[in-house]
Amino acid sequence: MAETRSMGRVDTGIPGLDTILNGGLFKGGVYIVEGAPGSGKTILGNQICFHRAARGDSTIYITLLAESHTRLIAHLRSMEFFRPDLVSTSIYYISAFKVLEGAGLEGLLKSVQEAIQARNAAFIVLDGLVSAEEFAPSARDFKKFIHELQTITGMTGCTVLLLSSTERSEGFRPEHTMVDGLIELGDVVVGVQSLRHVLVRKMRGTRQLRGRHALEISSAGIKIRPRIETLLRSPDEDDPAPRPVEHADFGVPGLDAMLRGGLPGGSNTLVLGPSGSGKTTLGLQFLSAGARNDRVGLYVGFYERPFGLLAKGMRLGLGLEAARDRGVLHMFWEAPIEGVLDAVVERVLRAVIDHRVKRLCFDGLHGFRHHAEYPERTRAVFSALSDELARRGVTTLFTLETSDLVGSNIEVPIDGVSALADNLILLRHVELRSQLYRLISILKVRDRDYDGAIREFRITDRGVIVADTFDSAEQILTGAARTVAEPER
Amino acid sequence: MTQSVLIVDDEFGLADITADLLIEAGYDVALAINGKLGLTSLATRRADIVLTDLMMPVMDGPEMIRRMRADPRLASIPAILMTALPEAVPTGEAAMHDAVLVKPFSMTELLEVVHRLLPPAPPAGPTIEPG
Repeated sequence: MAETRSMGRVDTGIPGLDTILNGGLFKGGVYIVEGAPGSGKTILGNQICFHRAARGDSTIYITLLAESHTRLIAHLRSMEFFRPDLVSTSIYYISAFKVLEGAGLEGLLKSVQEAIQARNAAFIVLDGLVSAEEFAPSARDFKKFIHELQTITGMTGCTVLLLSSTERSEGFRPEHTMVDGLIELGDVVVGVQSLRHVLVRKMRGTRQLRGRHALEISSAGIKIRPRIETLLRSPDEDDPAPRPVEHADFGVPGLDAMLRGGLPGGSNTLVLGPSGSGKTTLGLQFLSAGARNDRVGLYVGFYERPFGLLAKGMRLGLGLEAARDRGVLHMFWEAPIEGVLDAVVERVLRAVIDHRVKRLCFDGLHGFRHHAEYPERTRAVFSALSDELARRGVTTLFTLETSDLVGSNIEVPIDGVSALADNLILLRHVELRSQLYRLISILKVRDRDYDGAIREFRITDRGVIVADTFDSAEQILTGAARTVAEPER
Repeated sequence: MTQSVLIVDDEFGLADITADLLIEAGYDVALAINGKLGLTSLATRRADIVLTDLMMPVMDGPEMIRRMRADPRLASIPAILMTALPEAVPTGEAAMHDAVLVKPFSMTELLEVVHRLLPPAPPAGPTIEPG
């Protein structure tokens, strides 16, 4: 098969599929696409035919005992990729079931060969492999059929997709060992959510992106979202040392002093704290300080909508609206409902690139988790996203809600995330004589000196104020606090 | 004499059902699974009308009709193209069919077009020999 390898690749045109196939199918290869009814095999096969036809290839869609062409075309008409002008000229629908019924696998093979030659086809889909198997007198005859099909495709350079609705049983099927690739389409229920996926089990001659990737079907056809953590490469030893990026200050003298000037540029910071402790406010303050120096900021939130945030920013005198109008602040909101995590990350990275974002506030890593169909992926995605942002010189603040409202007990709700963060800032409430105080402390700044003292943290109409000294915090913690002068918000 | 119909379609299902409907309506029906086999059938067996699918392996419907038109023995047989994709029906000079049936079609539509192109034969009666 080495010669077919050198014949190049055939891109499928299905968004994301060529990425996980590491460049598409191989010309002259035979591939099995397997999945239960309704998993999207027929759409996949047709979508590739239309893409190849649009590229000038002659393609044939051969059905065995599958959907009738009348129904097939009626369904395809609603798809955006459907182009009637290509059908019967560059995409040819034929049925080979009667041939199979009358002349068996040999007849089918002959019919396929004749069709490839008559139409000079470069790509064919054989829909209903199960029917062919049923007509095979023995397993050996079926393997022989696959082998002979490979001989034909090898000689003609025609790429073949075999669609099979066989339920994958444990263990392997003999034809799987013979074909050049095996693509599985699935639809599983996780909790109450139904999730479609694609899994490339085998791909000869290249390294596919392994594991399950989300698959979406819409009127645009199939779209595959490669798992973002497999797509974003991890930094390796050959990476050039990250170029020094200026400090990212908060514009809060007390806090910037604790950080010795600000957060290290390009680093990521996890801001931990219970509900109402000021995490979002700190994030907005961070973006506002950047915007004042024309460092483009992006706010990604899951809970508070941009309108409410702008109002909050106005009360705090952060000038967010003006910054947004000047194009140095961008905001977007994702409802914390079920969704595809990869879609959220893709949207964030797209915005980072498009707007040349230098500061990012990712508000609510816990909301991000709602988008994770498999919550155990959150850590891997967080890690991949952080690396990518660091590579792009973006200084990022991730906020994460902790459960204890008052007190010093910190429980990070997502395993392993705090270890991945470069810097850790902790916000908390302390109750004293029926009064709630906010405290801020820095738990970690990677490779840098910092002031680890606990300070009082106040939210005022002039923004965030962090006490210059630890005196007030000490008074609060020792129960000797003065009465607060300014009302807390 | 019973009128005969040739149905040419590669696909399982519709051709067989169409055949059943036409047999029920009193026609004599023959089936072929591609244009080439359709022509083979016509060489040995008379047909008064041909219904053919458009896309088929080996020889498609339009090509079969073109060859019928080129053959003086078959040229006058009415031919109907059946397709789910009317956009793909040949137009202009390439259009050699007499009618198009868009799939899926109803029994009424089928019989209407067949009757139009092939008026039902008058009931057989005594023939009067010229004296």
